[in-house]
Amino acid sequence: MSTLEQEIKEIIIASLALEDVVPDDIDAAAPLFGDGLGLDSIDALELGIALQKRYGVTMGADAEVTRQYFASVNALAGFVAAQRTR
Amino acid sequence: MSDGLPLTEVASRTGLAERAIAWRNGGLLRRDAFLHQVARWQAALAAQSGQRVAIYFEDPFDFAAALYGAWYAGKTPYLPGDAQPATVERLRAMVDILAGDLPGAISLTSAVAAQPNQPLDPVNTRLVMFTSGSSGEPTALEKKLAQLDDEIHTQHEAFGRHWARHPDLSIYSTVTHQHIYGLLFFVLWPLSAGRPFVTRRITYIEEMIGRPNPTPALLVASPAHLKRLPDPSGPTPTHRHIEAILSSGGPLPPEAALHTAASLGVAPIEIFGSSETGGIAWRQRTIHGDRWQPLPLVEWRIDDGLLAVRSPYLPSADWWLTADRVRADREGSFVLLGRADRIVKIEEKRVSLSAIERRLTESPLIAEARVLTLAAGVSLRVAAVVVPSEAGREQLAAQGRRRFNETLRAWLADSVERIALPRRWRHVSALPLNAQGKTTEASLIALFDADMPPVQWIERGTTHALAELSVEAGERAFDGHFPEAAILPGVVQVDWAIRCARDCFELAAPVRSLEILKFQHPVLPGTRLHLELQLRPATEVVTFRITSSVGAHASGRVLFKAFDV
Repeated sequence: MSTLEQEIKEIIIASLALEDVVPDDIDAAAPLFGDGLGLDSIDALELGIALQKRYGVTMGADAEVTRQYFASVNALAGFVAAQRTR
Repeated sequence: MSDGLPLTEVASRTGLAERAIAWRNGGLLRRDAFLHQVARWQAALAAQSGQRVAIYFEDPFDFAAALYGAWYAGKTPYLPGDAQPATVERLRAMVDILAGDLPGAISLTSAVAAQPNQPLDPVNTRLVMFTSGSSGEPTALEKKLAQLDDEIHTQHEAFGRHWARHPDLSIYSTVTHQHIYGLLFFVLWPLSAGRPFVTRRITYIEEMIGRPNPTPALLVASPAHLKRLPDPSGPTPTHRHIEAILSSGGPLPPEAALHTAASLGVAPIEIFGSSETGGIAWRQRTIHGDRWQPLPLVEWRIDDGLLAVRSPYLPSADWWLTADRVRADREGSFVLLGRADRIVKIEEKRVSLSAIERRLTESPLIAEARVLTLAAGVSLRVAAVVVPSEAGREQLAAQGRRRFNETLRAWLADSVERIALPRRWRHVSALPLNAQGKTTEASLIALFDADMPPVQWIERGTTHALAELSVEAGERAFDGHFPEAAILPGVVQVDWAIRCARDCFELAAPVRSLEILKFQHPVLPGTRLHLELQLRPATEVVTFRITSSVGAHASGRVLFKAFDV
């Protein structure tokens, strides 16, 4: 697994204060929202802020595009790798 | 109450010098001693500038003397529910003088001759007390002496006549007189009726066993204590002398009421009310079942499914709407159906925390549940404290916390909005209770901060305290210390003792040394620990003992700063 994916998993756990979850519990290909990790719209907001702080990436206003970025850890890693400014 | 005094005349009526006031260390304190103490407090407080005096005492005799002394000095007493650092901090902003077992309290005038007193004015004589804080911060409430007098007399009329007939009745209490229920029945009713109270609050009902020459007793108890009674061992001579048991301050489960009746020979008289409303109704489970009998002079009606009351014990003549759902039953009685829903708004969505609790307790995995909100980042998040059932405990042990929580979230998902699904969970063997037997919001929030099991305070004094801590299999302290066996490390036990001692005795100084540490039996998951703390008076030295049904686990002494012995 790439270090970026590992890092994003750690950011998810820390920024959302997930308890009893370690990075290895998160399947990088599984959906983060809905049935997968069970994250919701408040988490998306929270996670967006954390990713912006860490990588300088901004989520667009287009909800549909944002939803695609948040599809899985892999998708997020792809988005961050392409857009990061730090 | 044929020989009863109005509360206005407890310290003024002449010619009752021999009247019994209190039992302390086996000796009887009489009214002449009480009046002398009232005079001392009156002199001490009259010499102070400022009108508002906080009164907090462990000892109800000293408390009663300071209370009447304050009234005769023309002061308004404020009665904090406890002497926690946070409570004292809030109190300092509200009062001018501190009296009793509080840091910075005034000292008592050495000796002064008791003067004849006039009866107190029933309307202008007042005190301020505080709600218990089960639903947030404690709020201050003012009570007129006339309200308190009405309460003890009508409650006595409703259910007290048969036990009050004993001239040698003594009153025992497991609850503090600093809250309304203990104030009324542990101190004010006994003062009015001339029946002595036993100054040392009892921690275990079993302490009443082995009293020399047992006399008829009234036990003023909390549901928390009655729920913990041992199994019936057959009637003992002591039990035969318990004439009546009162229970108030929270709901008493039906099993506990019946268990008490079997253990102690009398069914508890349950009193329903609150600090704000005073007494509303009473019942005895063996006679009335679920049906609450309104107290004399209490009118009630149903407003939108909720109980509303009107009575002389309320501050005004208006209807007071409670947060209890209710239905009418026969002969003017009513049955409570639980608390009204607690609604919070999360991201503009209305979320009923009560509905989440109800749904959780419908799960076969859950026995009890409390749901609250915690501030987190950009929004509020829902958190749950659950007491797993037998089946729940097995599943938790087999699945681990994460999968167990996922199971519960899935159980809720049908009826609860996704953003309101509990995000953080705590699994406990019992909900945290304070010394009044209440689960406060603050104690639930504390579960999410500390890596320590919830502390159930059985007794919480200024120099002595007793707490119960249930060590669960899932306790974080077991993680990583002994890979082969789940054993609670000794260092963790000492840490818990120190944290409880700091919390209880307001000890801010660093720990300087640990002495005579002993570790006996290992603590295994599922143990209910008793932690006893003793502060050596006027020092910062605390002795602790950790025991359970297995025996002694640990003991030692903690010095909170360098201290010259």
